Amino acid sequence: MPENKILVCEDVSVAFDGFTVLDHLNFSIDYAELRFLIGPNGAGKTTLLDIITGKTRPQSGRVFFDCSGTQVDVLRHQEHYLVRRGIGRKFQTPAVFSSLTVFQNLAVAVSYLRNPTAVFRAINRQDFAKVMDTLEKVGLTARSEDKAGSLSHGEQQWLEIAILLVQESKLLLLDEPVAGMTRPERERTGELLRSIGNDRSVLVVEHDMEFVRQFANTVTVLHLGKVLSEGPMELVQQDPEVIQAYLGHNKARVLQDASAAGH
Amino acid sequence: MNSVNDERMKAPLILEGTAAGPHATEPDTRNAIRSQRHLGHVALQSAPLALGLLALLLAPVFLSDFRLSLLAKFLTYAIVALAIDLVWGYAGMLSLGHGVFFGLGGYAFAMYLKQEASRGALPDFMSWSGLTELPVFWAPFANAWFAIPMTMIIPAAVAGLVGYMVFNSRITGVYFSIITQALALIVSILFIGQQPYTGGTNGITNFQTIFGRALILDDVRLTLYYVTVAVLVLSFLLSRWLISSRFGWLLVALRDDENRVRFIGYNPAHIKTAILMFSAALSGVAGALFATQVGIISPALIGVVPSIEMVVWVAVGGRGTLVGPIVGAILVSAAKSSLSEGSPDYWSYYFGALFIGSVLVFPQGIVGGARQLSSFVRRRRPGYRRV
Repeated sequence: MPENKILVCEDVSVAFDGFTVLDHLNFSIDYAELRFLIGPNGAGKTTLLDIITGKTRPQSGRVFFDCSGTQVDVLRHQEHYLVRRGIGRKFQTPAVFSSLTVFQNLAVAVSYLRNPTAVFRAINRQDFAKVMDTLEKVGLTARSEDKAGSLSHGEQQWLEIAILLVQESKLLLLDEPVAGMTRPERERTGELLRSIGNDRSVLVVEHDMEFVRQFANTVTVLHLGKVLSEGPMELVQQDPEVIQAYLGHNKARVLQDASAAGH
Repeated sequence: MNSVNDERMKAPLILEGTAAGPHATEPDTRNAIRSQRHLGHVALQSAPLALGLLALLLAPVFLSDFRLSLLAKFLTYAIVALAIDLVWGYAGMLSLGHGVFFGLGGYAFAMYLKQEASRGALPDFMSWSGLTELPVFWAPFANAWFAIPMTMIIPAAVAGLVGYMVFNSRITGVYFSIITQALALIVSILFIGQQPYTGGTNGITNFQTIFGRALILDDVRLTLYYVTVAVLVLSFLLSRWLISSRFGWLLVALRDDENRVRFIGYNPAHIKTAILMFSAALSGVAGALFATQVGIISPALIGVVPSIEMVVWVAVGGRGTLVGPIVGAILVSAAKSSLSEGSPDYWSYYFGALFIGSVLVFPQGIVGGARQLSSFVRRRRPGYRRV
């Protein structure tokens, strides 16, 4: 495994009922990197996240995750094990525990199986502080006693990010974190992702090109199960192949609009 | 004062999408109010509980022997209902097979009672079905101190085995319910078929003594009644501790979104198996207390129909509340015995009507409905603050 890579996917292929979703894909993420993953519908973005989190097994290929020096063979472990090693995931639709309060959501996540009996004891001072800090960070302190189900859509997305943060995930996989958010909410989320990306690796799947343009440093474009292009957003969006891939999709217009707005 | 209250009630709407709001500015007041309300809440919750316990403790003074023995039976049902509620009301798994766990506990202790009744001879039903020697697995149950822990260990082991296989294969929802119902059917058929070892359709009955004292003695019956009350109280306190711990939050989390639980690093199969085992152990104790006081345990008491009846107690009383199942089990069973005293043939109709009626009128059950009503009234009262 190369130095400073936290995740490496080698030659990964997935097919569902004969339909190729990922086609000999090679992909990797560095330590402390904020990476955006874009691509037209059906490019295989969510499937890639499924592979990395152990939800789906590929037909061929290898995936390794670097857990503080030791290599974890992702394809040999179940989801919950990979989560404990440091791969955290936020789903496309917010998945929080709606009948628990915001605080309880995090208290359950933080207690984590460091020690299997910890969950029978009250939350300790350290974990409590961690939960409170995280609430502060995502701006949900004032709502800590409210049921998570009563939060707005945007707040639920933040809560889900907060869950990953209290667990100290080393690699955060975020599937469309700004979907359905208002403009100010998107701004805040973008800032949040930037600050998170300082000391962790974050992979964001996003459809909102304006948001990607605004906050992405490095972008990977996935198309038909392969990496079509990778690099800084300014270069990627001028790549003729990328423009070609997006033609025929509504996104082409968005991409060009976003590009025009930048110049 | 009132204007502040109104603002607080509207606060969540104003807050939509922003983090800072009126709450944030006065945390001290807020905490003070909350702790005050908390005290009030505890008093409000504990008063009926204390009254209920007092009623159970004084019941022997007021009730005839016949009624008291009925109440004792209902209390064993209440323990099962509580056990089902942990699995269904909190963790969201509808078990239609708790009769099995109840029955395994009942049979385990009946094996002791029967051997004591037989005074060293072969139990009567065994000689009727042609056995000449006591089966090996029966022998250790002659000792009550072996049988008592077994009333918990055997149901928990079966729950652990079945649960782990089912949950590890990620079988959830209605499929779990169907499998547990099949389990109830299989076990009751198995027990009917193995007549030499289980007493077949008749089950195990004709008990005489417990620890050498005749079961018909008044003081023995009274002691057994109080033991049942004690087990119920203990189960209640243990369950309350469990659901208020973070493990309990995790159970609710499982009900809300099992996949998210997996993605915060827990293996849902382990948590679900653990709570099912705990629930099975409680049910087993209840079954043992039932067999001892009612004097029989048979396949008809542990199969599909009784298993469903147990679920109805929980639904009527209020799932997701710990008091609800207890109230439900006692009330429904009391209604059953008083209604079927008058017209035994019609009980099923009454039972069905009661179930449908309670689901339609009080989908949260009696206790859940009452709580909703009281919080509705409280909110209407001037001076209410939403915290």
